Amino acid sequence: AASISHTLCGILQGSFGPNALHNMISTATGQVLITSDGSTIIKSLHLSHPIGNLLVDAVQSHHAITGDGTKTFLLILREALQTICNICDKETTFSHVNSQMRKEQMQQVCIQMCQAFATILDHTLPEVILPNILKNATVTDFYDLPQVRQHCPCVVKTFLSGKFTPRVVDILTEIVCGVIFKTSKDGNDLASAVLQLIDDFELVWIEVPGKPVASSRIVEGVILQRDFAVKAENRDTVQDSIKFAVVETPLEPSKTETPSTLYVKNKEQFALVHSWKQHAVQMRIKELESEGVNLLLTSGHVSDMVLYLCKAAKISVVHHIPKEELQRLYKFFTVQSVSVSTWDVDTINVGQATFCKQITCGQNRYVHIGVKEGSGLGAVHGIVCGPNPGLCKLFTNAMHNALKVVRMWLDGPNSHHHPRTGINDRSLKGFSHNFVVMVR
Amino acid sequence: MSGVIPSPKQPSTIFNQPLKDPENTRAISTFRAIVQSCYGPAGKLKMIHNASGGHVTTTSMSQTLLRTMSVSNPVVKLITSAVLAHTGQFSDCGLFAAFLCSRLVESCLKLLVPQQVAAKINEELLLVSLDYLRSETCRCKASLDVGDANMMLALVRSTLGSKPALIVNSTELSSLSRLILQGFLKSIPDTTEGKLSLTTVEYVCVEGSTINNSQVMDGVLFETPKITEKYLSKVQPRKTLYQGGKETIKVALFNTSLSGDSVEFVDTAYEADVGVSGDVVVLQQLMQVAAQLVQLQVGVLACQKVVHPGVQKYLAENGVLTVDRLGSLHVGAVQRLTGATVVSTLHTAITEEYLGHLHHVSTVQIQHKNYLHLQSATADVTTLVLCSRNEASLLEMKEVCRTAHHVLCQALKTPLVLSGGGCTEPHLAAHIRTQVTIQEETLLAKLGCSRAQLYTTANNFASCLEQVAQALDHEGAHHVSDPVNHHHWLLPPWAATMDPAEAGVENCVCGMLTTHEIDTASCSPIGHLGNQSQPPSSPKGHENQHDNKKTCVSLENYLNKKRQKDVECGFSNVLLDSFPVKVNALVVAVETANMILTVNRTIFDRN
Repeated sequence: AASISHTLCGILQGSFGPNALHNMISTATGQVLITSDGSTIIKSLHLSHPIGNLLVDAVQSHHAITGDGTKTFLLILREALQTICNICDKETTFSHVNSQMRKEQMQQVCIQMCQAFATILDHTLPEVILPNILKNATVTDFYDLPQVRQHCPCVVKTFLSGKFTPRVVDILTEIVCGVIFKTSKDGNDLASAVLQLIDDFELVWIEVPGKPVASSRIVEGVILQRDFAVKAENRDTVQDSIKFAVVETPLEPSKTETPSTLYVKNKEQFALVHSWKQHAVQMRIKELESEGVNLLLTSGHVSDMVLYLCKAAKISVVHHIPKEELQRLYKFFTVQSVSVSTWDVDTINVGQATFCKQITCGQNRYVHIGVKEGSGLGAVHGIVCGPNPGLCKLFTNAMHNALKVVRMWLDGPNSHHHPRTGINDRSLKGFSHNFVVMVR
Repeated sequence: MSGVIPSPKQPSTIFNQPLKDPENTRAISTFRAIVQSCYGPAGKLKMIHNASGGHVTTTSMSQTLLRTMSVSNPVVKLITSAVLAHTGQFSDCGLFAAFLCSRLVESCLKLLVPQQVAAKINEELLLVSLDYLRSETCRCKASLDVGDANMMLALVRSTLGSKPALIVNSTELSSLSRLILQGFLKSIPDTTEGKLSLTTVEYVCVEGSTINNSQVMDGVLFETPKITEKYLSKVQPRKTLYQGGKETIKVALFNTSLSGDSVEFVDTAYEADVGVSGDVVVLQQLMQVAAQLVQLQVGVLACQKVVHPGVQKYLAENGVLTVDRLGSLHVGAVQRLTGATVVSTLHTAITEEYLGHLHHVSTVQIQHKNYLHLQSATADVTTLVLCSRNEASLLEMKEVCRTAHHVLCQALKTPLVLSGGGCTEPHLAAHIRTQVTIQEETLLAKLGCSRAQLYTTANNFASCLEQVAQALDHEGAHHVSDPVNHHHWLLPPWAATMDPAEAGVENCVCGMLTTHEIDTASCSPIGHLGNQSQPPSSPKGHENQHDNKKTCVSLENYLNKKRQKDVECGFSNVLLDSFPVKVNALVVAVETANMILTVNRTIFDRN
């Protein structure tokens, strides 16, 4: 176990601390990642040794909660194991007994050590170390918004500073904090805002490769990462209110579930059958139109025919929207998708947006929808620019972890914060716990 | 049961392969050498051939080159992906970015400065250079007068000139640039509302003809083997009088199939009585649509997919020209040209407002191939007919034209230019060197490194920029810069002197300076000073620069003067680079290099 943790640390040591060097990972698919994030590196190693796996699992679960401290965790672990090995060696060299005895003695020592660690964890840590740390800690009052605003960038910056060059850190810090404060408008629900951001982190960050980092920015409103399939000119000149409906089922009537044969008696019926599909779609669009919908968002594919009919009814369509993005949309607008069977469009199905326009992010065009003021948590997107896709990914990952760190900070039981204390504390606990498991 | 049995995950191999590893440096140098040899108007072409045979690509453009090359070294892969992301947005300056980036990585690894420190300093220097380039006082920047055709032409010519794979001589070059500019100007909408997009210019490639046969045509041109001149004379599209007495041809545009296999129909089995035939009903439906069109006095029916021959025959008899199998590419162009609404159903009443209008329909024969030419009086769609002698240069030409068009669009957005031909780089390098000496204290405080580290890295950064300028030439010419303006002078390899005047060179590469304007005797070769660790232009030299302000020439002033002096041939030898493109390339290159410099080792995941 000691040697394995030693190897792991050997890999990670270089990327520890501010002035860290990165590791470059060439993945199975041929993508190149650059990272100094311990968790990512460990994950990419695919260790085969059982103890190695145990370690990796422990580290991963620790990382999933805190978003940080992987390397600290492993480094402390290595030191501890190393010490134990040394002690064991000493014990065995000094006692001249047979091997069976020696083995038992070894185990004895291990169990003792284990108990000692448990004591450290249960008594020393909360009673001795924590108060000492708290002496050095600054207390942030979370009801004092200006203070939070002041401290938050520091926390984020400390986290990021080891990973990138100073200017990049500055830019990313600004964006992370901007996103946090824009999401929670009055600061009371800061914690829930951060939690929300962590939940939809895939959607919050939009990666734009090929542009300098400095052109990263924050955009308010919801961005759907699709372009308009059809952009109809608006019916009325009043642009400040756009009604939209969300549909999660295909607009066209699907073919019958069971294999069936239609019996056609004469030509008229035949023609009727042919035009039936178009007729059905027309009915549905009329229904939408009657509610004054000008924008239709769907997760499925919309065929040319439907697009044409929508355009004729002056309804813009965005299709192929991922389900997750729609879920997020429901949250912000309190809308429901139009139900499948009945096709009755009620007011609950129609959302109100302030605007809806095209936004250009690098090479792609997306649809940008404005959210009305005062509706709970704000919708914000951070557009992250970087020279290439791998680096964009790296930036977004780092920012995601930064959010986790902020959450840990906000969750801190005593609302204290010392640069990085909370995290160290956790990792100590986690590590000791893990250690207990391992020695047994 | 059959299926793929997943093999257990392999542990990744960890090469404790630091960035300075010879294998890495070798890969970077090889890549750098490839890029370097492609760079500039005298660049060497690259032929790319797949190991299993097949098509041979001949190119010197970064876009094509990097896309077709398959790279295995992760560091190089990182560089190529960054460059491709850049060219994806700006089209141009890819080789510049690739070369600068690889050169920076290569040289910084050789320095005795820790990698992270070098990256930090590079970042700061990038900031310094960006501040300078964006400032008003920058002497190699000028605002571009979009209304001045000569100036725009100079910009296009600089873009085209650096692509040797076109195989053009100077007259062909200027005629081609003129065509591109013409196409661009025609594609700009007259109204302020219209959007400028890359797709407004269509390209038609014709092989086997000389470049001089290339031309710009209004409207859309596409190959139609069926519609010959003879056919067109037989089926004259009906013309109708538009409001105001203008003659126009009405166009109906479909993107659904008009042959009876429409997706509209319910996909299920049918059973019919005797005497009821499905085909007949469908045809009847189609005929109804056709009759509707005839009634509306439509002249041309354009369809993305196939039109039923029976319908075609009926329409032809009634004076409607059918153009089918357009493909989704041409449908967009025809739609923009005619302003018609694309109809995608058979079951709707087609009204007047769905129809588009054409001005003229004719056929054109180019190189024994039949093309249908649609023209409209109102819309702004242009087609560039590109002719070239062989396929490879034709492909390159298409890409280059697209690039040039993109650069022009960029110029419209940000009308700024930099002096081209490698004059900006030494100028910028000189600026960095002086700035480092001036701001020494603040920079040291900010970066927290030693003075030697700062100077070594800054010097390295500057000389990397100079090497970019030097890479423009591949025949061993002398690269000289003047002490005041730091422009780039190219002396022939046989010149025994470093004095441009004596060597018979009149202009610097970008064409801004002439030998009369500078102190030719004090010119010194670029790069030689760069090897010293002390900056060449000491603070004293900088003061001199201010004293000599009269001899400092800025691009802005120069262009203004030129414009007033002579209108006709003023810009024939001026090289200009688009500002936004170049700056983005610079930033991407330096940022990528910095990222690479902070790498410690590589892990290969072989699953």
